[in-house]
Amino acid sequence: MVTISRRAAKAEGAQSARSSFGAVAQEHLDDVYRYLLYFTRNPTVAEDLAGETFERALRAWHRFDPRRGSAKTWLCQIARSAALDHLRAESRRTRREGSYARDQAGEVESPFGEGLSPALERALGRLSAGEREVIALRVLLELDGDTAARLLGITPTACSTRLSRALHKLEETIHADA
Amino acid sequence: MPTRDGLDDPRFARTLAELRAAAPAAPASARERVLELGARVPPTRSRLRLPGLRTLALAIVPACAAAAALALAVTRIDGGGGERAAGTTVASRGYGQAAESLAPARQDRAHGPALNLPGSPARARSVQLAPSRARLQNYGVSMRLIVRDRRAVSAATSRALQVTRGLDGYVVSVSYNAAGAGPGGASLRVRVPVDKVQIAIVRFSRLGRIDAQRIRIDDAQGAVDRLAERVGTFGRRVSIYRSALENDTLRARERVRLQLALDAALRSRANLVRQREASIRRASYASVSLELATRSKAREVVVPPVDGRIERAAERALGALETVGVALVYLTILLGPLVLLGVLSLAGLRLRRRRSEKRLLASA
Repeated sequence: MVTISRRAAKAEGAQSARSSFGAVAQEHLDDVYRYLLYFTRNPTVAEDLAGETFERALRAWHRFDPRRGSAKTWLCQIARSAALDHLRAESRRTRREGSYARDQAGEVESPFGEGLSPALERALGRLSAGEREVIALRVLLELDGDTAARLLGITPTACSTRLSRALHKLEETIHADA
Repeated sequence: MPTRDGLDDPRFARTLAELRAAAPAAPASARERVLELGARVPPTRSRLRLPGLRTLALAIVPACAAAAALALAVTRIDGGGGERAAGTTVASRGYGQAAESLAPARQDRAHGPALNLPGSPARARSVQLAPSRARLQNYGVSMRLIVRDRRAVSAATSRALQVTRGLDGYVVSVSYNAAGAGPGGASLRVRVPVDKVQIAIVRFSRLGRIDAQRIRIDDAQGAVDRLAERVGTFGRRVSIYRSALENDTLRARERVRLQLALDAALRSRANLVRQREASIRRASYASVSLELATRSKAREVVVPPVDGRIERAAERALGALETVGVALVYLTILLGPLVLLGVLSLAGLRLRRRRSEKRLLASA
């Protein structure tokens, strides 16, 4: 009969929690990054926000309940919150400075990563953040309509409409440039 | 048929394929950072957690309801719920003052002091107020006794008369009715020496079940003392007039006047002496009114308690439910507007936040 001391059990629990968070973080890092990249159109900002996302997730790990949703959805919610905070801060900064925030996507080369055609990249750049994020969630992260809607805080119908509109806009922009 | 969101629309197939194929991966620096985070131990659930707003609301509302219900319940209890006393007793106010005592309707729940006369039966628990030995008092007792039947009325009446005479008292009046179909009864008025009135009460109470008892004590000493003073006053006047009449030099008219005054004073003094003696005689005997009946009079003093345990429990339970219901109504009226205001505020804040997000997302 093996007697496990309370300290050993605690250490074992901590190890288990650490490894589970670490595994989840590694598994979904790319998803979070993609989402933030499409949201911000800036790889540097996306990387910073991804780091912030996982820091927030680490602090809130004990509140994560897998019965309520997948880890990917949970992380995307945290990422969205971090991204919106960033946008608000940027908005306040530009208001304070009295200058209009230029489209930073124009300053970054291949803001949406390598592999995209220039036409598609330009078309993506012309979408709003809301349109880009729904594309990221539904197309890249492959979240279903209900999950994406819940994450965005809108109805599934509104989510479908937004995605459809974004795709239509993409196609129109691509064909117009062509 | 393509889905509404367009993911299955063949027009977008190429674009979607390109997007998926070119899905970016996180840079190495981000991966290192996440690896470092993954090595940390996530903080455990803190022991002292601040509850969320919803939890607070779920806890506060029932707590307020419970507090309101408790307050109402306490108010109702203090306000006079509960059982009433089985009877009313007014204690004597002491010597020198008129005192009155009403015995309880049901003598088996009497609250008076226990009898303390030698040889007195423990059964007789009527209220006793001993006459004063230092002062003259007019002592009056009225008792209503319930006897078994009309035949018992006759026996009790005879016995009451025997008791009276045995205590050197006398009968003032007797009214007896035990014939016919109606309830029988008798009324006696007797007088017994005041120093034997307690014995009389005890013996009378043995004649039946005491239904009511009333004792009245009026102080007579004061009146007797005042009479004595006036007697003394007139006695002094008599002495003065007599001394004056012994004067041989008085004129006839004056002598007549003094004689008339002396006669008046003597008459007044004699009257006062008679009054004083009558008061003393009256105070030396206690008046007892005895009523013998076969049936108890209905008294409206007491609400009879519910005897059954189940009935009592049911009554209490219904009362508690009523209290809770009142408390809920009270709480709803009191907190309803506040809760509504809170909900509207939260909804407004949420709407404002959504609009702000929408603007941000549209401009970014």
